[in-house]
Amino acid sequence: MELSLPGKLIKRLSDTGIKSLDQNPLRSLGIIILTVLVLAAVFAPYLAPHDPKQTGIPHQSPSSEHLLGTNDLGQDVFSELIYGTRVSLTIGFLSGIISIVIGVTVGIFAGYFRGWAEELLMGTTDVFLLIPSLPLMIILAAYLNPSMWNIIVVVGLLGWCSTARLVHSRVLQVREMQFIESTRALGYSDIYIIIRHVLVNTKDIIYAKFSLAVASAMLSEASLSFLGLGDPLNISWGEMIHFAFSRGGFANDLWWWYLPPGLMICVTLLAFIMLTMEGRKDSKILELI
Amino acid sequence: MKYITKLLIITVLISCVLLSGCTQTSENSTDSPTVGDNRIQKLVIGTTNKVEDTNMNDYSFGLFSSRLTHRALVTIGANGDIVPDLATSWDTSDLKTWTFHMVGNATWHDGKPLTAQDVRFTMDYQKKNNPTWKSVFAGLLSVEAPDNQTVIMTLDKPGFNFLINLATCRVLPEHIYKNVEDPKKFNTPDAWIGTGPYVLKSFDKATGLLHYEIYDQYWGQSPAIDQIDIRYFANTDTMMLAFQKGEIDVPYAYATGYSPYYVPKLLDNENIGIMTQKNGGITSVLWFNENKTYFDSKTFRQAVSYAIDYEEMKNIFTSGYGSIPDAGFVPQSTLYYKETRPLAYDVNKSKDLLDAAGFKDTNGDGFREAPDGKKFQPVLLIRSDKVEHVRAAEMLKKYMNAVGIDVQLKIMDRSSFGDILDFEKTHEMALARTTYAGMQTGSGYGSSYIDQRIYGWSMVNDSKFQTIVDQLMTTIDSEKRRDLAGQLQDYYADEMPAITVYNMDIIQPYNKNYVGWVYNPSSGILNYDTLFGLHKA
Repeated sequence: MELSLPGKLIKRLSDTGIKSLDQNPLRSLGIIILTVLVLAAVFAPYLAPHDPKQTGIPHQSPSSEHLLGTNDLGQDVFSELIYGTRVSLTIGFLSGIISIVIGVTVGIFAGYFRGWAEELLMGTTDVFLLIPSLPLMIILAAYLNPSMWNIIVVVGLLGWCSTARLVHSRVLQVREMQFIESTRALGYSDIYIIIRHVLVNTKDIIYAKFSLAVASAMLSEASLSFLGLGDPLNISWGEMIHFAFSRGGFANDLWWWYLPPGLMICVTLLAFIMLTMEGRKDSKILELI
Repeated sequence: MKYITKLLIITVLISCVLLSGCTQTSENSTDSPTVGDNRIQKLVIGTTNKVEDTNMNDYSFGLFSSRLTHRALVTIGANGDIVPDLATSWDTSDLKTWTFHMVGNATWHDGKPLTAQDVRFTMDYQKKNNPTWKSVFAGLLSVEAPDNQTVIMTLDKPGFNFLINLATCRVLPEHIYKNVEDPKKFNTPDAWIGTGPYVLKSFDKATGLLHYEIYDQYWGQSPAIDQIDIRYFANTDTMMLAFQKGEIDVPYAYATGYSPYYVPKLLDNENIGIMTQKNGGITSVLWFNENKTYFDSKTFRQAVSYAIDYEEMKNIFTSGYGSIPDAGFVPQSTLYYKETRPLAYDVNKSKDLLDAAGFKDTNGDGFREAPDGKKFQPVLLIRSDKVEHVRAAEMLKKYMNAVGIDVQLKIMDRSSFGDILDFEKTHEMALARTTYAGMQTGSGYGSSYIDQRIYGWSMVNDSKFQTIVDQLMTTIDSEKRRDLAGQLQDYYADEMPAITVYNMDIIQPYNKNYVGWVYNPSSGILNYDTLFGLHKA
């Protein structure tokens, strides 16, 4: 029976798992936090009380005028924190997308086609896994000019390996399932099967892994920025801590400068991790990721 | 019960032994800083200058070597005069031929005697192996060593500032370096051998710790400190926290002081003293490469100078420890300083000048196009390790954007930045400091930074400029020198090959429990006067 439009919508929502949110408070909390952060990022110009680039009297304590005081250039820390949400989330999401696209592509092709493709792709993945990613990121970020886009590319290109391994394992299971064999027997092309069936059956893992990839990318960006390898023109939370650490924030106990961005990083990472939380303790996804 | 009593007695005994050990350790540690009456056993210096490798071409290693292990023929004294070092005296009649008479009893750290041959070898060796050397000593025609204690140097033309240049030249041992083809790869303990009062005993690359001990065969007066540790900190804040805790005795950075932001906390600490000095260099300078299209326009450079809010820069970056500079570029503490036009913030004048120079917004995007109609996005280079310059560059971008210049910031590591400014000369604009020594080299007044024939960050090869500089080099008469120095500052104020963005006094904190700290305009607080005179309060 053909479903009506509202019925279709409810089914789609149910497919995405939103319907089960009431049974999973942690995931609900994660979604709420991230929604707030995304809204803050989108509506930053309306929420921020000051232009974050506007300079003034440096190192002011929190007041009604400057809720979180000012930094070394006299810029409003609270406004910078709100605008920093944009940069941190953009870097996290874009890096996460890059790493997921590469990881899923490698994992699916290696798992589905097997043979020399699997050996080549998973061999390459193993080589990448052997390389300690943070030191390599530091070297690449230092070699390239500090810019937000370079950081996105560097973090994205070095964060796909675990996704590839995971997707590969899942695809190995899926490709042996009877309905895949039936579809193949019916003459559908490999690409059609991969997109319409294999990918669909690995989406739970991909969603969960994407969430962790974004969190991991944000943490990597914060680490690089803290080390002074970030983009000083696009102030992220990590970059705020870097300047607080280099320009007298820590030495003068200016907690309002370095603590809020640190807390924001923690809360956001926690929210992304909450998204991957399953209500059931016997969750297979949890075991896999 | 007996068992418990026994256990108690044993516990008390063990506690007594342990506590007595603690007391002993405590007494030792109290005595440890000094040996004898006021001598200091170990001085711990903190720095953010990282030694990457212990070869003489490593910037930071060279820096510490010239302070502790190696000496030059002459050096710059605490009041800025040239004073004897390995040369006890010198004479010249025409500023072209210089005769140096050296100390007779100096030895290298391996016991071999220092001779005039070592000086001759050093000059020849550096000429061959050090690319920046040629720019300073290009006019050196010959170096002769007629005997072991006499060196004769001949220049192609009179050189008034020759001794200043010579003060930056550490003498190397011929018997060690004659077999070294590439000094950049020579980093064994032999590379550390000098004639200075300290010997480098160890270098831990992982922690960046350099450990020096006194050279017991040192030819001169014995220094006041037995051992020196130089501890590397990746970050000034962590160094300052360690300093406040007493883990280091003095933070050291070459030719610069520390941010005023640290001062309030340091003033609260009764063990810490702070000295302030006028800066003989310039903390932050905006350089234009006049060899590049658009940047050769005097009007453009002047327009940029009017776009900068110097009052705001002074307030944010110096917190009252600086002053608004003149257009004449050289610091007020310079000999024969001439008051020139003060740098002023005038956005409308800046826009008018840009219009006059042909930089107009023809496509209405808010940014000006070049006079030939091309997109104009000048690139400003900054060193990534100079966080204050990164912040200053953000401010400059804001100011330039406000007058329609779409400046692009390019942040580079120290090595790449140095390569571009010193050798490749591909920059358009750059933000960098000058040092006291750098301001004195060449003909002085910062001319070596400007002159294409020397460091030439501004790549100026204007005949008017070069005539003044050449005359300064050969003129002895003080009145004539004053006049020439004035002409040079007028030239800077008019042509603006470089703009002083802000200049901050040197703020140098130190451990107040030791007295005898001396600030040297060239080498800072780490100098021979400090090393030989420092003692417990």
